[in-house]
Amino acid sequence: MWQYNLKRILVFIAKRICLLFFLFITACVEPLEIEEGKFESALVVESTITDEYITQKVKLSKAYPLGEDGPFAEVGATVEVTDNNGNTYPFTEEENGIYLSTRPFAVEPGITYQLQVSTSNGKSYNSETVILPGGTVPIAEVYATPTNYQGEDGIGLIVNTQTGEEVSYYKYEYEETYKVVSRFPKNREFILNDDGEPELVLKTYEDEICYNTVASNSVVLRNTSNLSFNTEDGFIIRFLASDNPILAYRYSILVKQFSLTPEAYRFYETLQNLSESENIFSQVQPGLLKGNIVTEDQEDEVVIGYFSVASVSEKRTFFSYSDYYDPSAGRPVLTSYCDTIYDPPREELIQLIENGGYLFYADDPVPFAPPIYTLMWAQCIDCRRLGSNEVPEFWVE
Amino acid sequence: MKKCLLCLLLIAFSKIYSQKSTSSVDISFKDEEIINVISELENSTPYTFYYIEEWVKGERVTGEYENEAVENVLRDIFSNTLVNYYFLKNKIILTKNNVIHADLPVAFSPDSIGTVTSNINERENRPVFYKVTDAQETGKIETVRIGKEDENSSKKSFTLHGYILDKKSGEPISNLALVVRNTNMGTVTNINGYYQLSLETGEYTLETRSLGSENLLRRVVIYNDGELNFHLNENYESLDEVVLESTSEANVRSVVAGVQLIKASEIKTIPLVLGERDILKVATMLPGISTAGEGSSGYNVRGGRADQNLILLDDAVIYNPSHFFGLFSAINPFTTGDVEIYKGHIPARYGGRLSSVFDIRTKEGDEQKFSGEAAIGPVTSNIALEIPIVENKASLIMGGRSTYSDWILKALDDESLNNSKANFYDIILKYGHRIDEKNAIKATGYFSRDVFSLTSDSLFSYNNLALSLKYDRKLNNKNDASFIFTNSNYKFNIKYDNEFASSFNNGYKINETEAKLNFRYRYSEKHQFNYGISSKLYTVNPGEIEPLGAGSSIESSTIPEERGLESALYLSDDFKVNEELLFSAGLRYSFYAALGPANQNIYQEDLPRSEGTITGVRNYEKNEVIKTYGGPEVRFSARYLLNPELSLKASYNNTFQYIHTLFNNTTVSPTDIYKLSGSYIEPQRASQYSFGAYKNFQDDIYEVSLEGYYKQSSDILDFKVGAQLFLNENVEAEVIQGEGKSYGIEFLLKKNEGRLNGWLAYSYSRSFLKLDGNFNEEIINNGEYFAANFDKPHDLSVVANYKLTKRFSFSANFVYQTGRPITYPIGKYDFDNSQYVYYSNRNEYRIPDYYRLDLSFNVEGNHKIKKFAHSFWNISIYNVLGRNNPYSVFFVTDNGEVDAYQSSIFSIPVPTITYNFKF
Repeated sequence: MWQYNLKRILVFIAKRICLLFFLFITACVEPLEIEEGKFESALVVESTITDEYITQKVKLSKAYPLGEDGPFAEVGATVEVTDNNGNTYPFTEEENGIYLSTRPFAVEPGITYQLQVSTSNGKSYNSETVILPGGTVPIAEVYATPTNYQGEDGIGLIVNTQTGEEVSYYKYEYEETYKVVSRFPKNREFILNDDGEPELVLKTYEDEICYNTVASNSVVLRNTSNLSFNTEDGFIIRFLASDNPILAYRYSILVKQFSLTPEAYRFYETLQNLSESENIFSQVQPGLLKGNIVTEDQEDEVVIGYFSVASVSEKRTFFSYSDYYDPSAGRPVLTSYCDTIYDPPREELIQLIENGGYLFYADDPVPFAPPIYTLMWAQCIDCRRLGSNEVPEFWVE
Repeated sequence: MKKCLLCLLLIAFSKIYSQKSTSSVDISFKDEEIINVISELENSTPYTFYYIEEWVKGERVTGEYENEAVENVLRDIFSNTLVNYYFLKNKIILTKNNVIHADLPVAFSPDSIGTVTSNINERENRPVFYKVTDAQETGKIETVRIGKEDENSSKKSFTLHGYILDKKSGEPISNLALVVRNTNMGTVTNINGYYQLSLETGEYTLETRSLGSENLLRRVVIYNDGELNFHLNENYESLDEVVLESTSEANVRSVVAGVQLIKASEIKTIPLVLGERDILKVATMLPGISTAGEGSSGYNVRGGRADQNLILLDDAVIYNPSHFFGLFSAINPFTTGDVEIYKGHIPARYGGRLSSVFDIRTKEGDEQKFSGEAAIGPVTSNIALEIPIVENKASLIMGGRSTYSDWILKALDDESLNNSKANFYDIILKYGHRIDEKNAIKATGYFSRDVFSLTSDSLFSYNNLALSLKYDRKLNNKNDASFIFTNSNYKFNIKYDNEFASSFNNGYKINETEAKLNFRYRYSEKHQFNYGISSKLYTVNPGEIEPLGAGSSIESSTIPEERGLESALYLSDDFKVNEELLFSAGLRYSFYAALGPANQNIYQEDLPRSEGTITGVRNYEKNEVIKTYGGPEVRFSARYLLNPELSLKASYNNTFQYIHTLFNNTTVSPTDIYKLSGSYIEPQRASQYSFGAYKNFQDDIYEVSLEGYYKQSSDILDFKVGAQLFLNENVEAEVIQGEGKSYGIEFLLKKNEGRLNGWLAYSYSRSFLKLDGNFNEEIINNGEYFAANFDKPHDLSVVANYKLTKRFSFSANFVYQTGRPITYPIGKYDFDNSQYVYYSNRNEYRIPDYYRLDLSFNVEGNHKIKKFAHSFWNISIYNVLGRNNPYSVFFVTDNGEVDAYQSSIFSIPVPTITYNFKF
């Protein structure tokens, strides 16, 4: 684990690097304008077809220049997956760049699969043939436990997978859902009535308790080679420091395990290495990461991405703040600062109501006069600003 | 004139009378000139004297004789002179130096006259004859006879010693090579201009060569021990100091292709970096040798990786010969004698690196006089002392150099600067002891250390330690032996100490110990053999990390030690076929064994090596052989002399290298980790063909050479995309080994003398690498050849000196290099909800070209002889054009965003003033 630690440190150092040599020479590292002219567009293929009987997905996008925002979807392509039994599974474009199989299917062991893509500009791309890796074992357990990680106290989320006979390779993704509770719940809100005048009314919707679901944006890789896999304790897939507000009420994590071929595993591993910072102590060898997609026509055209087949296994766990901490000592809050506006003039009040950035907080009565209103930042009152007020299907209290 | 007389004398001796004195004489003289004594003797005896007045001029003698034999009188008179006498009837012939022999030696025949076989002849009191060579050559050469021939002496070799002084200033000329032509003898003057040569009787041609002073050619005839002082004119036209000198006409005549000699004493006017004379920096101004970038300590020689250079200091390997990421070389210029760089033909006695050998030799200490040299600069100061320990036998050289930047940093108000550190120092000690004529011992100790803060909470340090012990023994007239024992140690350490829990201390260490036995055998004039055996044990501690402070959450971890034993046997013959054709042919057999203890990973066979394909671990006991490699290495070089000023040379060399550095940018930063060959990492191999033409013009004032080479190498280390090398336990999983090829043409034009002198070096060279492994991740750039990290096609260096007067001179350096290749980020893409950067093909782009101009102005102190110290000011400006040359360009990726950074050093002109003095 220390190696992972170290990488973080190195990243930290790299950010503040300024080489101080002698008094007479300062050799500071200075930012350099990246030459944009070198950009070459490239097709990006993302697809993991699983052994679940579902509508499978292929995502096609285009690489974009460094200084710009993206990605751009690759639209209008023809996508299909074929197997060595002669079956073809066609895909149709659902939304921009997302292609879904026209019918649900599941990959089966012992059968090889290949992805074929023809883009709208007439170029054809193939993946290498892939096969479901053998010897994979489903997740045994996901659980939360108080732990100290990198010197911080908090809750560790542990995945436990039994070791099979063979070395197997896994990629984990997770999706976390946490309860968001309004810090200052109010049952009334301002609206502008038909005359355009501010008016306080009772709320007709739930905005005190919400749920937010976030997909992991990092890939966690694990293999069961004898050196790196700890079967006794599993490993920490996610760590939440004690003051992390997302564990303030109730938290749930869904861990999804994809079994990978060694080649696919290596691809993800390299991808991970490349996205980590370089610094003077340790540099990662940069370069073009080759996936398993090739162009049919031009050898030197760059294609990024990986087509893999995987068996999937998933497990969910829940815990509440009170399981590990004493709520009476105070919970961490998502909205630590709540700005208020006291007694806005009428015009400003109307504007605030129209904008929606501030919501009704209090009305202090004044004898023989309209009350004095106080407004507060919306996210301190309306939990929908931080999540959805619909209870997820899987949610268990 | 004298020669003619001698000539006649020699010829006249076909019939000789026995030497007998018959007369006696009464004579007395007091403090009388010999010349007068002789005329008095002529008056009072029947003898007539034949001599040249000059020989006895000025000599005064005192004596009183009554009825004394004339011979005895003469013996006394001439006892303190070089004059011998010979009785021929009523004539007394005086000769200088030589004895007139009544009998010819047995083997005497006219043919053998003058074939003075130097030091490999057994002889008993052999008379000295020398051939008067044709007038054309001798016209310029003065002949000096040394000592008085003593018929009764049984000594075989005599000592010639003396001082070489500047004619005008009377100052000693140090470090001047004095070479005995057509032999392998020679010496170098010490700091007092003193030299000593051991020669047998006979005739020799002594040559001195230096661009600082006139070149001198002198024929000496050795009869006995003697003193010969030279007074050399300073060569006004030549700007001596910037001399890359090859002994005598080595450029044209030496058999070794692609060798350069740099003398430390002769580089003092090259513009300096922060006032530091730097012998290795000068090396990079020569064709075929380049630095990986400004401020990087690596040298790329003929398209080789920076780890392919064997850098030796008095036979001990120096792993990182630089301070401060290569800003200064860690070799003290004051104690350094010279550096010989072999970049083409590598003699068989060297091995273990593919591309070059930098053989740095410390000066010989002065055994007679205490002396020293010092330099005071704005950043560093340097002092070197030469201390005689036992007169004429033992001496000590001490050198020390240090920065005072730490004091400056501490004195500042800024807190972050107060806590920063930046200092380095190096010390060297060399002790030389000549026990007797046959045995000598030399011992060198060297230590260098660098400490500096890269950030206010990190501390970076490294040090080199080198020890060498050499015992030279002359076995007999034909055989010499040396026993060399060396130990080298290189360490670096990163300490990261902040308030967070992530403080750590990380270290790396390599140690090697070598024992070597080297023999030289002068079989004949045609064959000179060099053979030996060596063995070297490496111990590498590839890394450890430990938490720093109680709050650190870093777990301590150590990558296990690696060990390896590298041994070699070698034999070479310098074969002189005839005057024109010379061969140097050598064979070296090197053998390497990776030794336990070790835990060796076993990987799945059909998959690329990675952490995930480890199937098991095999344990090796201590000294258990894990894997062996070895092979013959051919070292062949030939020279053909078309005419005395034009030669052609060709060489073929192949080499093995069992140790590799792990670095994936082209800059050797001190964190370079050395990795030994083992089960998975094969030794690097190379073979080089080179060819060159060498021409000198106008009495060697101009030297031109054109060399070309083609080098093929295999198992050159490079890395997979995404490779992480820092503290990686499974480095073999990150490495790809591929084939390299490089070729180039090197041109050098040197003007050795004149008011304006210097050189121009240009090389066009390419270096390529092919990584075409068995698996996708081992194939880079579709398995085709691509430009290596240090491929810099155009490399131009110009060094020029212009001497205004004897005391004032200007120098300038100009360097231009094509920017080195780089893998460039060219775009972004989204994958698995994250942004990633994608890169071009490996080394598809280049960083901006490198160029730099430096100027310096030198003022010599005046040349009063009695002054305490000889001083010298140097004012220089480094990087006059203020070019912001990138030292490295790198990319930092964070959350899918990439930022490019360039680090550069000296992006502004840096002026320096340095005061040097000798005492």
